[in-house]
Amino acid sequence: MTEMPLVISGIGLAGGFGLGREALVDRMNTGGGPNGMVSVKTESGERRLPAYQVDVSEVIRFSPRGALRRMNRYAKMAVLGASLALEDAGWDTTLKRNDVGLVIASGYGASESTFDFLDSMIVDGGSCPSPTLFSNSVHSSAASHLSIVLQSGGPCLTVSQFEMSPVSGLLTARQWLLEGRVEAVLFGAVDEICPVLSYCYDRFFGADACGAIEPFTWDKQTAVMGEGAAFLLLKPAGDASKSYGCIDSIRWTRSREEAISADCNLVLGADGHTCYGRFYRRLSKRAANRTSYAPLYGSLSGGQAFDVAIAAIAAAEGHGAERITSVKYDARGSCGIISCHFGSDPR
Amino acid sequence: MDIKQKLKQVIVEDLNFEDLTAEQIGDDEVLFGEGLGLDSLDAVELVVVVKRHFGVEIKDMTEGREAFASISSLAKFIEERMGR
Repeated sequence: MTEMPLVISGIGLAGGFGLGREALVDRMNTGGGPNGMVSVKTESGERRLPAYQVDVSEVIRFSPRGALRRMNRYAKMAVLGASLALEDAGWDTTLKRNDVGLVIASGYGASESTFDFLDSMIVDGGSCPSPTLFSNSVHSSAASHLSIVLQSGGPCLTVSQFEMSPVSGLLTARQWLLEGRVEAVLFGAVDEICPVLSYCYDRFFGADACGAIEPFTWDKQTAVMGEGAAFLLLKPAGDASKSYGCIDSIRWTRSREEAISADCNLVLGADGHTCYGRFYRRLSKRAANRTSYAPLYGSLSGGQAFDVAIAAIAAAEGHGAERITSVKYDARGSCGIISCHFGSDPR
Repeated sequence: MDIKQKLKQVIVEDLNFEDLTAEQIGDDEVLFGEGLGLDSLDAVELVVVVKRHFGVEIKDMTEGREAFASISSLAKFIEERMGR
């Protein structure tokens, strides 16, 4: 596939660290960690699990109150992340344009609404499902709310391929820009914590699901639930406006580490899940430099979008490398590889 | 709690009116359009809410239109059909 650098013109982040660049940098300086706890009902009583949770209350700054009435947390996180990215780029947070594409990547979609809707069908026997709950339960609900709030008439797509969602979404964004379908793409990853996810963490990981993420401890389950939104405003190379740098190449491969240069600065998507540990361990053995940002935002399938965004901000703040390769594996060995360079020259 | 009060409460909670309290809704306030500002999707949601909370089904659109005029008319509609 044709390589085409994508300029990162704006970044919007909503995570357990807070909202936006300043909150992230504060957390980078003070150390990451879960910012909340969620309750899980178990057979032996209630358990509390650590989690990285987003405070969505500030979404009122970007959306009319009437529009928020039908928006779930998943969509509110998307609106927050997207609006912060536009704001960061110096754009109006109401797009009112037809030449900006929206691409949302999500591992599990609007999981809380999905399970609430399914529960309502089970409890009520399907006789009176809530139309609002149904419309919010589909994976594309965040993208649709977002396009309404931004008044965007451009192409709009939701990609859901678990851990490969961000790399898949970025491939789509690049294709749209290559084809000239759009002048810019607002790309973002969104995932949320829900009671079913908490239940799964408790059942699958038990007592291990209560500590801090140890990204480079390969054989021990240290994942901590995370949620949030990471958005990038992307433009074709050559744009002279504000830039964090470029995404130079995007690859989705099964050839694993053979495709990754060992002498680059690796940003690993290692987030405490042992199911990917063997892949990262093998890659780490030959890596000159490696880092993981998961302790800042938690364990979530859209984490690679956070990795690219955080690496760009870290470089801009003088805390990170100017050339990085972000690597994210899924449990089956698929690998998303995103190479970037940061700095003032976007070419 | 009487039907009118419960109706106001479930409208605020189930239709997610974060900036409105049950006390602020008048018994005879128009629910749709210029009054409370409910729309067509809210109408479907209200059918669900009435069924779930009061066990009353609204099947006939003509009846429903009259019932949905205000809290008072909807409460009367529910009261007449509860326990049938």
